[in-house]
Amino acid sequence: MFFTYVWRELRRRKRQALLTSLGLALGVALVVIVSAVTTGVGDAQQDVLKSLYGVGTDVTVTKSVEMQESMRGQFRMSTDDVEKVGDQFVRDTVIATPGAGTFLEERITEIAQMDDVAASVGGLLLTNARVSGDYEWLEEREQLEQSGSGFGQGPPPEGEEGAGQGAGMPPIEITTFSMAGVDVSDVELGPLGSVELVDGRLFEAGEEADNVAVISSSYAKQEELAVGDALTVGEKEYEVIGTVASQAGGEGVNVYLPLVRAQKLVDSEGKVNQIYVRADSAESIPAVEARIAELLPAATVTSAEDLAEQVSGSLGSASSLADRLGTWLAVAVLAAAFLVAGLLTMAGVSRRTTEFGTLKAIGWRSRRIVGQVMGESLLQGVIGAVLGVGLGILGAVLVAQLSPDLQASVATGPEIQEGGMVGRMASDLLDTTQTVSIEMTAPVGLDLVLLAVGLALAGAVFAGILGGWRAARLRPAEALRRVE
Amino acid sequence: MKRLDIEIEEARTALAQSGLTDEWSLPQPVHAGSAAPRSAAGPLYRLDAVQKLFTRRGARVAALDGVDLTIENGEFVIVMGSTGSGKSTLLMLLGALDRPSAGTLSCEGQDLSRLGESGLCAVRGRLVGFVFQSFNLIPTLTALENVETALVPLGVSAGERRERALAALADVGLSQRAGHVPGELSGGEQQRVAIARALVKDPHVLLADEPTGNLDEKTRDDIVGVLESVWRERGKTLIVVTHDSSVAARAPRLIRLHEGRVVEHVRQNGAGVVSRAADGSVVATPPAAATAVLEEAGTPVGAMAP
Repeated sequence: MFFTYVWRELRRRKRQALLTSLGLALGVALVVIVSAVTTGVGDAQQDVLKSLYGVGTDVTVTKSVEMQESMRGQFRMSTDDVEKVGDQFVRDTVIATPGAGTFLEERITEIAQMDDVAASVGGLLLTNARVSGDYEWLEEREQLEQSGSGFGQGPPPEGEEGAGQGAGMPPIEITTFSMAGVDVSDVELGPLGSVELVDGRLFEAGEEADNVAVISSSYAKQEELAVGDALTVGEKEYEVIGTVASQAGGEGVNVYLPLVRAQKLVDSEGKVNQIYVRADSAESIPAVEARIAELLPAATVTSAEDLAEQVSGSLGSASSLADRLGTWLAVAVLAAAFLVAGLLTMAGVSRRTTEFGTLKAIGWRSRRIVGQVMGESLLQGVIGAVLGVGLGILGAVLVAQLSPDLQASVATGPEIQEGGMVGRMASDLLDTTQTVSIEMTAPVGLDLVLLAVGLALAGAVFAGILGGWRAARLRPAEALRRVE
Repeated sequence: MKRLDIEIEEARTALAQSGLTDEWSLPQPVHAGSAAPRSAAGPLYRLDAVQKLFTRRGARVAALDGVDLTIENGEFVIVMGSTGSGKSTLLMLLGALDRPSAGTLSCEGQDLSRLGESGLCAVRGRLVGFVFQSFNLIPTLTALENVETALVPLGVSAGERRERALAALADVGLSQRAGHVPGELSGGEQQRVAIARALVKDPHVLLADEPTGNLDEKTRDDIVGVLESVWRERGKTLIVVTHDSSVAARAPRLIRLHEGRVVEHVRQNGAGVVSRAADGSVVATPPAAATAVLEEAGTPVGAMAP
């Protein structure tokens, strides 16, 4: 009788029942979509962090130094030290990442011996800068420099501010590729921790001083290199033993070399500019960070969590959008759906005054009538949940299909304050901002489906309580008198 | 029928010799059904100075204003009166749908004035069957299911519910229409379903509020016939509110209300009518029939108190 009555009543009031169910469905669908997108963005952030940071790395230690210290003189060029190609000059220079200070390798050992630290290795990020330009300009510039206003020393002359090829700017082109010196004894920790092997192999223990290189697959494609080919860096040839790709498909380091070889390229034996640390557990990361900060007060200690806050680009925007606008929109629509469902149910009860009055007259207790109203409301909730989950999944799929790939950028290099040509060159060389392209996903898991069903049923219970309250307050004599 | 007045004293003298009791009572109908006759231990209803007040536009209005009344088990009572006279309010109180504002109202010795909603609900579920002018059937349920709704609060099993509902529909001649929803039934059929719903739980009293108000003349006679047979053959107490004098003429007892008060008590049979007004004046029509009427009613004229 109960189910027959519930079902027939909803069939009789199809339009109202459908409206209530659709309202709940819409609210629930939005919650599903927003939650799915939020989860997707969260997953993307994790992917980005893995890609930019390495799976096994919990903390990285770097040190910023005044750029002048590391930059000045490194780009001092004269006609003697460049290769002349026709009217053009070309010069390749390998430098440690400008603005990044170095640590002695002893520091790595000290960190490795700290409590809660599982492992610690060093790395050296390098940049190969190819500067090319007009040979005649270089000659003129050299003469000017000899007369006391050389480039690379002091503030630039008026007019050298601004865009690269503007009036007064030298016709210089700078192309770079990035390199990393890797501790071959533990490739899981450090720069190679965030890549996937595409071809060949990674470094093996014992290859500390070998002339071998691992290159990114995109760089290999660009330079038409393959495993077994020779790569020239700093006038030395390295055998390409493997190609790798960033796990998130983004641009990372182009060339990986054994740490010792990298140190020799920049005459920095026994020094690193990155220390990668793996903690015993996720819980101990803050403590490890604190200890390292105490040991190296001038260093920048960064965890994955810190890095997540620095993620910018469309991924950051999507995350912000999903977190703020999406959540509030879903909450607002859900609240509106609850309210509409409640009001419609109350209105429905009002229209059925005679019916409920009659049932009370024949002996039905209020709680049975409330149960009847609640049953009808719950059935609408179930329909709303099914529709809402369906709409939500459809919406999530559409969002994932139609949204463009997300771009995530993390600036890992020092900030360039200096203007002029030096500033421009430094900006180019120091462009250590890593950008990763991530495919947007919006996964709908069982937990989300259960949440959606729960919300729809909660809305139905809310509406049922309102309607039931109204039905319970109905005095049978009053209900029947209204009909007279 | 032409009405002739007789002197009250004459009637009292004539009827005093009959030796009948002071109480209104009815000849017991012949019980053909399974229902057993009620206990004669006490009246079904006793109302003492019952008042029912409502507030309308800030003013207190008495829908019932000091009603004294006794209704015995197995009576067939008609309640008449103009609109607003309080007849439906009286029916609501008798049906335990409401409580009096003042005075006492007892049903089978139980003071309904003191019962909470739960107690009133139990009385409605067990003792009282309602028949409404607009039938008040649940539009989405079939005739059978509508009848079953009356058994739901009694906790009757689904199988027994169905069985009893089918039997009740058969009693009102609607077995063939059991599977139809109210929208597929005529007015008369719907009212029969409503009567079956009222009777299926075997109540002590059947309360009908304008049961023929929405029916044509022929159907009205059918429905009144059904109700009358419920009273006559099954021994149920039948209390009917009506405006219809042809319906009223079929009951042995009539109560007329005006502005919340009982203004006339009438006993009648095929031989004549004896009426007692609120001021105590008694009118018999024809005078010669007075004794027979009241004898049949078991009531001396002098005792034509409520």
